[in-house]
Amino acid sequence: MSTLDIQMEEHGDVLSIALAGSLDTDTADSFDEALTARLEAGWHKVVVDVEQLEYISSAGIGVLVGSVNQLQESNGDMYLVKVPPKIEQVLDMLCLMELFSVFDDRNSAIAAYQ
Amino acid sequence: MQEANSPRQMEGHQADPDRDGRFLEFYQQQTQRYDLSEGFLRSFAYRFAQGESCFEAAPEIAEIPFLRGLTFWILRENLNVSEDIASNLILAFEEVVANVVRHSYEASDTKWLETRLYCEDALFKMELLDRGEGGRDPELLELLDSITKTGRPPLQRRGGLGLYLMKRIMDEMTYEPGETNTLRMTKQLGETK
Repeated sequence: MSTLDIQMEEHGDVLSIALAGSLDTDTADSFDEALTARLEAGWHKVVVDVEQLEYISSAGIGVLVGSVNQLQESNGDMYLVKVPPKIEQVLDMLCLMELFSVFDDRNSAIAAYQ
Repeated sequence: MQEANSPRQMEGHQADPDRDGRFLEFYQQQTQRYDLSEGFLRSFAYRFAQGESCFEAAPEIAEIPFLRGLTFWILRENLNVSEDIASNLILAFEEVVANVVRHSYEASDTKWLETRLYCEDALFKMELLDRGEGGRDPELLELLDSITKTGRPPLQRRGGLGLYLMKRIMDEMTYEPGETNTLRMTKQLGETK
């Protein structure tokens, strides 16, 4: 099976997530469960650092897209941090980069919510 | 019982000690890296012949990353596909396999899947054969049709992103449902490594 490491930290009212490994058919469900639990707990400002993401498939993108749509509909958002070229290329192919605000570092993304 | 580190060869395999040795080494590394079921390891077989690389298996979702890595190795080592293009091709491969395992074989115990990879005169061709119910799934066929007509990713439909991604990556796709469903995808390659 694939490996996806998920690290979550709380920065005031911003949930900061760092992903490492593969967000694919095998790991997308577990990420979805972890993220959904936090959204249902009331977190609506989310930052996702994807610098260490080596691979993403449509399953993983589906989780990100579903989450950002849900957040934006409830006046929240999900910002991406340090999107690697290979990941950006996949998001571009799906015309989805426009859905996300992208930052070069986590602190800037967190500060943007203030 | 099939040994985990000795994959079965399919009929028609053309031996090449150097290539087969490198493949076996890679296969063994991958079987140690991923937690693969005995059933999957028994089901796996491969064939390398002139212009064709082929493997069959009965994967669960958890075994797709193994097959993805294997496909990448074949693309790079056997078919001399560039790394950038190989990275996109394995995206398309994963989408197909995931759809087959998730939808075609939902209620089936026999998740057989055969993958055939060819590259000749800079034209890459991938064929995926399965015996699941997907070929007779009207919702799947409707989704394919919708993507073709609109040219946009169907964000509201489960599985739609994957199918759209496949159509963006590959030049042509044809699907023949039947007792054995066959999906053929081709891509003109601009360069090899």
